[in-house]
Amino acid sequence: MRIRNFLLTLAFAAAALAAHAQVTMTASVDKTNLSLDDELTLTVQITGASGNVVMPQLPSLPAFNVYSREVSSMNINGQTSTVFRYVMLPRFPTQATIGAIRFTYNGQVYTTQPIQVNIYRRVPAGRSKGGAVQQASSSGTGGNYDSAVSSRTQNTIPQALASTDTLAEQNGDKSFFMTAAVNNTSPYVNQQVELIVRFYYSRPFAGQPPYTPPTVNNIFMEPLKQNTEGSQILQGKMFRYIENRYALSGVQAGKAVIGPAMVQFQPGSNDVFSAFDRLFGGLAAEPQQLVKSNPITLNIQATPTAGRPASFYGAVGTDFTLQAQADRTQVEAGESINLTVTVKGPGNLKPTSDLKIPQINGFRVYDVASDSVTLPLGRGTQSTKTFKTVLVPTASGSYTIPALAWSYFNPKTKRYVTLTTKPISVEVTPSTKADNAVSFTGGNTSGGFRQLGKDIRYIKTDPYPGEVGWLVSVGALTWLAWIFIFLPVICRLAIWLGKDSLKSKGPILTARNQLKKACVEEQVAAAVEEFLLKRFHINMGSSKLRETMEILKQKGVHPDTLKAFAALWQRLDAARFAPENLAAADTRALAAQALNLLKHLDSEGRL
Amino acid sequence: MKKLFAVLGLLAALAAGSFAQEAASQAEQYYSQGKFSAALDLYEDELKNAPNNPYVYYNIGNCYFKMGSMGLAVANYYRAFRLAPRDGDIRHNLNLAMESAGEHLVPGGMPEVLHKLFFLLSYNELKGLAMLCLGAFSLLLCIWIINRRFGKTVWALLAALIICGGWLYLRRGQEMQVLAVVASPTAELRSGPGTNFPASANLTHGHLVILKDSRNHWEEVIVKSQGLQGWIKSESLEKI
Repeated sequence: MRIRNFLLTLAFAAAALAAHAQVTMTASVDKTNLSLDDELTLTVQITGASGNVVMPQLPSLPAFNVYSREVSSMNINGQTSTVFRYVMLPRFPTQATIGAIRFTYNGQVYTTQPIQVNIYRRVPAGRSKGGAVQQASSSGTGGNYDSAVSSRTQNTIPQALASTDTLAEQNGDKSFFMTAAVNNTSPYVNQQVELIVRFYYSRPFAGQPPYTPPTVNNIFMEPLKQNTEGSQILQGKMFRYIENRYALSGVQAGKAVIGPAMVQFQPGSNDVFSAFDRLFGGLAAEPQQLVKSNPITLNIQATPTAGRPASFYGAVGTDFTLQAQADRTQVEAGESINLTVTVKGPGNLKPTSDLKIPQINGFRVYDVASDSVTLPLGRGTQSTKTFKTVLVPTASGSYTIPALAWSYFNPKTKRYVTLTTKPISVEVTPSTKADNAVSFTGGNTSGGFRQLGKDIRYIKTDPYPGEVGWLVSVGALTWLAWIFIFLPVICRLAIWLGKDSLKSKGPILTARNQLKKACVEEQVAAAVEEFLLKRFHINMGSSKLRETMEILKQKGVHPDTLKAFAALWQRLDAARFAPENLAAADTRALAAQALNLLKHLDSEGRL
Repeated sequence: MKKLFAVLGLLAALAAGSFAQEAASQAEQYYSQGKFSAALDLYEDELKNAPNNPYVYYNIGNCYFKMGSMGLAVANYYRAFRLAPRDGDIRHNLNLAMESAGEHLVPGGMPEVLHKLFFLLSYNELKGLAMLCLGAFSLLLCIWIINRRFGKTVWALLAALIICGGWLYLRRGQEMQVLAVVASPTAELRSGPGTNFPASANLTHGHLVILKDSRNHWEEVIVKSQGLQGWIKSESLEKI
């Protein structure tokens, strides 16, 4: 009996020793270099300890605020492993030491090695923080960093977690329930908000319960960490939970509703027969149940219009960066330059408007094409929006792509912050391609001519030559117009009044016209005949020369004139009955002689 | 004593001319450097001395154009165009400024050559030409009345007088129109003189309008290019 008792004691002691020998504790951090914006996850893993495992005892951590504790355990190949996760936020820049973590199990004390962690305002380039955080740090381009956002974000997640914890504590009397909480219920349009949805359970359930994510309106929703498990003690009772996180951003100012998330599950039975039921392969489950999270209403605010810069395209948040890059800075005229402008920052940049690139002197600017990528990162999402455009220099010379501005609204300072890119100098040489067919205005490119654009003509530096002066002067004499209008009237009136006088002049004037046009002798004769008829009422056809001479003599015509008239009469009379074909010059001489004679007759003869 | 006054007067005129030349040179320098606002100030000063100089209006229009004030640019180019319609630079810049507002100097359907011919002479020059035609016609008509000579010439001059008179009549119609340009970035066209009347259209700067009536700081206008009529706030318009 004694031997048996001794052997049993020895066996238990050996088992205890074996068990003791299997317990191990490790502590690790996800990064050793971090900035004030980051969070640090300390993971303590205890392997081999079974039963009620008490929480490890953390050392004093003055450089951190521990805001989240999670416990999870798993059984792998019969060995229990319990993981304690602490999410910590750095408080100030320092070289912090996480001292030895103590864990007591079966009276044995286990400790971990101290861990050195460097906390910076910004993580210096080259110091890796690992994983996604490393990506985040690489987004900084320098120069455009907004100092207002370098202060740490005010523990937005703890705020959401606190809400979750409060809700969970309130529902701790139930076996199954869901909670939903956000870190901000009055965000600005496009400001990132985190939603945490948890399904708590204190009793087992059958299978994998289907989860329905919350429905949202007036909100963009991006899933973050999904199906994270953890445990929490609520009202003295241990609960496990499944957690899903989302990044939200409001679309328009106004109300936005986050509908309830749902889980449909079949809880395990709690009655006394359930153990037997399970023993014999039964389900031992209760009827299906549905739990829903609480709906949440957000009051989305519009960003203030006061002080809103023209370069504001809708981005809200902190810690944005802006960078512009040209793929080349030495080109020929007519060749294209790809200009890429990249904006990086928290939240979702997809809904923001595209950057407007102004007309740049010396360049043809094409439309901007944008691309946006949003990835989960840390406590939220990180977006990268890229704007690409093509610039074509229209002529050779030295040009500068000016600084481009992009603004965002900082919800913490409630002010707009404008980031600008650095100007880019471009050297453009004359085009060497004769067949460069780039047409800038759709104009003619043939014949070695290409229209590059339109502009106004240069200012005038010469004095104005003035209008056609004399024409303007004549135009100014408006009174003259009245004279010109009435002159023909006056003339006609004068003729009417001096009719007799004018009438006496009529025969000689008519005769003169006729004689000037006369080409043959007959026309000369006709003109003289008409004159004699109108002036002296003598008809050459019916009167004889002697009678005519007598009449003219009575009218006072000079004898010499009469002689000359007689000679002309005889000649014209002869021509009338026996026409001669005189040369044109002779006819003109005859007409001139006749006109001269008629003038004498007109002036000498009385009416 | 008279000689002294004459010399002093001559010196004063020379000094004034030199000063104006210096201001013009300074304005050109500002313009070349892209200081359009400074150049504009100098040209505005020059305008006080030469209110009918189309080149000053042209230069002012250039400054406004470069500063992006298309409405004021169009107004000043138009003033210059009225005074010197043959000038190619003025026509080019006015056309360009008007096109930026969707307006056209040459009415649709009219050949540009005909438009240029129509504006070959300034209004004052055209008046002089019409007067010459009238004078020549009148004198020859008198001669014809007296002795029936130059009959064909009289007919030809009558035809010329009718053409010239018609031309002058049409140009007078244009000269008598009170024009204005939308100078503010946008102007609302309303159905009545007040904001209580509904707005029927939005006009951007540079649109040319004909003024019809005025009431309580509102102008009744016709937007010829759009075939619209309505009321616009006086402060949005720049009269030409």
